[in-house]
Amino acid sequence: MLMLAGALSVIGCGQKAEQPAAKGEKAAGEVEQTEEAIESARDYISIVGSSTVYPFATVVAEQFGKTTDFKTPKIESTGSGGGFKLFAAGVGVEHPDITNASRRIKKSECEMSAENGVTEVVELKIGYDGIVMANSKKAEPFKLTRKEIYLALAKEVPDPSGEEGKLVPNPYKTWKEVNPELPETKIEVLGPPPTSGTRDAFVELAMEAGAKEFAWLKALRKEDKKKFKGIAHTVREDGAYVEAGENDNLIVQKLDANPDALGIFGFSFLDQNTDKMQGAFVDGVQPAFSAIADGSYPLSRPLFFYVKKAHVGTIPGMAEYLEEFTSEKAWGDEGYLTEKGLIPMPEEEREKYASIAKNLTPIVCDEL
Amino acid sequence: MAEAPLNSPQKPDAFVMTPERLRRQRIAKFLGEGFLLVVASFVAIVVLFIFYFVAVDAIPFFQQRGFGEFFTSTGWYPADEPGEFGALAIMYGSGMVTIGSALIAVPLGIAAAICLSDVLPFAVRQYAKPVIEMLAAIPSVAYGFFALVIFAPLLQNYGGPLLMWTWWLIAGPFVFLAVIVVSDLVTSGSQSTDTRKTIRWTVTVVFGVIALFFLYYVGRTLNEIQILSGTNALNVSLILSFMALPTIVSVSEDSLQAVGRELREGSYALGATRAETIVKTVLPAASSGILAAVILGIMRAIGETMVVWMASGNSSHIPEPWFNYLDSIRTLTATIAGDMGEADQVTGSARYHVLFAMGLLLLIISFVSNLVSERIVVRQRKVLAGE
Amino acid sequence: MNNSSTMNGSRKAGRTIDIVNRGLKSRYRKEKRFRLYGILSIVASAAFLAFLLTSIVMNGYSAFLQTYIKLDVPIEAGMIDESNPKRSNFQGIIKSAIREYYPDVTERREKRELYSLFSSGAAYQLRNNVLDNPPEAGTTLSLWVLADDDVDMLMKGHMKRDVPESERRLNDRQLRWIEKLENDGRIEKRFNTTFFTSGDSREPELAGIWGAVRGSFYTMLVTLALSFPIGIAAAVYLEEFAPKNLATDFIEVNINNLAAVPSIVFGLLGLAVFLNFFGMPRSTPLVGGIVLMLMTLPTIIIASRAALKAVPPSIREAALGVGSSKLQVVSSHVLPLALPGMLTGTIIGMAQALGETAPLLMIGMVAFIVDVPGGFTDPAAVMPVQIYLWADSPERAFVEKTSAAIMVLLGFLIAMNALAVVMRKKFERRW
Repeated sequence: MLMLAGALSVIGCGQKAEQPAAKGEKAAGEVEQTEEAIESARDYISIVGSSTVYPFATVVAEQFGKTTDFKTPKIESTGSGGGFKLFAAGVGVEHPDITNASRRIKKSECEMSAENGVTEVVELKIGYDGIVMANSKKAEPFKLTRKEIYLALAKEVPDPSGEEGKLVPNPYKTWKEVNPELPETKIEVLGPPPTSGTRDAFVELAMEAGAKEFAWLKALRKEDKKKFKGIAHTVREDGAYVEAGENDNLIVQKLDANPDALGIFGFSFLDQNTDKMQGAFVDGVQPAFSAIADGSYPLSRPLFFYVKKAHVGTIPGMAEYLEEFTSEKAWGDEGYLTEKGLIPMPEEEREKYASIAKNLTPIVCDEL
Repeated sequence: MAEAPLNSPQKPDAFVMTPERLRRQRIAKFLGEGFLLVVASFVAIVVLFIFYFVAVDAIPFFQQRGFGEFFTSTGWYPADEPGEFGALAIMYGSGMVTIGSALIAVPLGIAAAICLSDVLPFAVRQYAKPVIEMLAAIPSVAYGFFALVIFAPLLQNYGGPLLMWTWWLIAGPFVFLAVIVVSDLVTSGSQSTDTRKTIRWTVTVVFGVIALFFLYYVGRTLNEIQILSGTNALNVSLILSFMALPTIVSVSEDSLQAVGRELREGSYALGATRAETIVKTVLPAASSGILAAVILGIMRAIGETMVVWMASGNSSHIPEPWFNYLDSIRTLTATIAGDMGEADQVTGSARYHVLFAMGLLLLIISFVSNLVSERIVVRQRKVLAGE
Repeated sequence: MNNSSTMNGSRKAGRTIDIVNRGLKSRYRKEKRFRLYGILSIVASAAFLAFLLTSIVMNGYSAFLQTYIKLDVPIEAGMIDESNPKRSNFQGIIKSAIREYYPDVTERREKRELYSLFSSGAAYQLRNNVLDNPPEAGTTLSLWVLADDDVDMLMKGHMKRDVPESERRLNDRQLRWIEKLENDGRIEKRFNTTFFTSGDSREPELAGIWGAVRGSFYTMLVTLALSFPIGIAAAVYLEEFAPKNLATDFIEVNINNLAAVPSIVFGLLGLAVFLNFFGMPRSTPLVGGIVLMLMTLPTIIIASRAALKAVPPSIREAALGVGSSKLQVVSSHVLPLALPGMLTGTIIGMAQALGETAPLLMIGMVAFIVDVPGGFTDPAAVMPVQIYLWADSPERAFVEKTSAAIMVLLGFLIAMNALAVVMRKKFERRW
């Protein structure tokens, strides 16, 4: 016990946890103080955040570690939300340097960071990720519109009789009932659980857009946004939508065994499995590299990572890591990230973010 | 020799207990025993310490959200604003897989323990015991990998036929045994030996045919079942049962051994067969120890994280219908492991604290079960010693 | 049987023996069935164990071989930057070597498909080779470089060649190129040293468990250093010195409770106390070791107590008889005799800790860590966590790596358990 207590106190003294500073005035002074503390301890970059960006960040990290003398960054997959919370906690060795995100930082998160002393945050977009609805190649490819996706998967849909303002529990059991031109197979979709960022993105991009096609719902959105989101984002629980867990390999196997079912996952995963899976057409566009890159495929979202400017220069290698990530050989049209399924940004966007990375231009919270 | 008294200064190198030495020894004893006491207490205090820290982080949740929703609602949407924290479905999931694994592990385990302690010859026992011990040595992540990568696809692709064959292999012998027993009972009335034999044979055959049809029909129905998701409660229950098995077997075996030879030999002396001795004498005597073993095995199943995280499907809902083991569920342990990443780890919020609330629940259940099983074992020892 | 000489006695005897004999057959049948059930349950457990181990081995043994391709790499003047050889464009050199071997591949799309047959690690293999023995300009190096994981899957038979092109990850053109290599004898499977010498990687063919093994090693060291002394001290106190009062009962009950705590709760503790409260570094063997120490303590204490109990009282009494103090009795006489049993218990406790995953998940060890850890405060993965991470990866080639890693982990566990058993047999003294 003495040994334990001794060990703990020695370590505890070295790196005391930052008490969340609610006062902004203190923050500046604390930043200077902790910058000195950073010098001493960590010599590797610490990255947290989205599980969608994780496969790409890890590839860059590995390349970075191999081609330079710096240590390979340590990357944790905590989810976008969790990553932001860890990132925003403060400046110092015990806090992460970079957080990956499959969505933009919220204004509230930006402000909270500033309150804790993280005043200069650099936002870098790395590319796009598509969300696809795929089925086995053994069956015919699906052609859906976002409105149909909403009608097939929402818990409550507008009354089919057309009466405005009325919602009924989802009555559609087969795809044909939603649109006579679709096959007469049971609606069976395997998708991510509510804790997944992919689910959030799918619900926002596909279902919300589909719901907006109903005029009265669109009007409702302007009046009562919360109620609209409740209608548009809630997925049916009667068995037509099956939460297929986080393991994509299993989803592929399920879809292979059951050709009538559809699965929802990221484009990079479809890309890895084109021998077994095919993506459904959404609003007439098939998910493919070019379609997602130029924006014609509607279900795509940008991927970001955020950097603490205060840590650049104190944690070794950060500037070089940014350089590696923003280089053409990584995120360019022929880069190694594209081979992993990342959809690259158009050239002008790449140039824009490359210069932001070089100059470490921070974002302004109010502009979010 | 012993002429000179011990205290004589003629033997200068003799060990003489002087007051100085005595005092030093006393100090050493005080320090030494004190140090050991402190260490031992530390270990004990760690437990209270764990309880305290988990409770301290769990209570804010109940202060913020109250008790009702957590225990009665099935809506688990922690990411919403404001979030919903109904853990009923998750608790149901934990309960489901625990009961499922107990249903498999308890009969299997007790039978194996009996076999090891009373039935098998010593030489065979040397080989059989390591098999059970190996099951205990395999790390949980290996079980989880097996459940996810090998067993889940098996269930998905061959679910129906697998269920059918398992039904035939397990229910078959039991059904035939029942047939024999029933025909025995039915024909025990008659007097004459020969007619009784023929009657018994015909009755057996008739019942046997009925049983065959029953088995076949149920089997074929099972064959048609399509298992949609290989990661489900059945998968987890099966794997957990093999993880709990070694605990049940070893504690039950200890308990059976503790019964002692007198009881057994007395039973044999009265003319009982080995089976009768075991069933009618030894088992009842060891029953409390076996109960303790079962409780310990169940505790193992409740507290398991990796297997359920990888292979239960992690879907927070109560299956339709309530006994549908082929549906995905979510357990308390997997929720803690999985949700911690998304939860607000630093500044504290309901999402973070609810996970500690679940941890507290698990802790309380474990402590209570442990206490109960301890009591039972102590009582059994007292009873046996008293007899 | 029909002895009517003695009146009631023999008739009663006749009836009892008759009753007994009548029931005997069915009772023997029941006995046989009973035995059968017992044996069936052991057989079922053995069958399950066999199924589990066989499937893991079947999936994993192919990971011990890795596909290599023999490439002739001409080093021309100017390719190696004399001033800073490390920064030369090795990727480019490899690509030109590939192009030389396949001169008729010119279209850009086809060239990309060609390059993808070779692992991205090939350039680093060349670099290491060049840095170790700098070649002269104009020589041609003949290197065996790693093939890409898709090629590896094909060569091991996991990818079928005879299915239609759209159902394969390698198209017909790529298959033809691979056939050319096969005909020239330039592609073969060799022992996979990379698996044992490198850390984690995103590319399956470059991934290895060495990083995880060292992480496990450091973590185990911390656990051992902390739990062995504390466990022994506590056991000694409880067995030798503790008076029979309420305080001792309290301590004993709580040690048992410690064993009952679910593993994930230890993770919560590690997170709340060590990471958040004390601010210790995440993902390090130090924190992992402390958390695991708490889990191993009960095992060590219980085993040590049993070892101490096994030392007969005569030893203690003899030592007291020659005038030792209580402390001397324990430290000089009882403890050394009980030590083998204590060590056995410790080894078993360590084996249990080696396989633990759940608590480590919560303290941040679920991270992509490529560098092999060098100390206790370097971020590290441990073997079971590495297995868990690989089980989640989309590349199919990781399935065999995961199985192989499980085999390695099981190997360690079996070795430790066997060591414990051997020690027990060797040092067990019959009093």
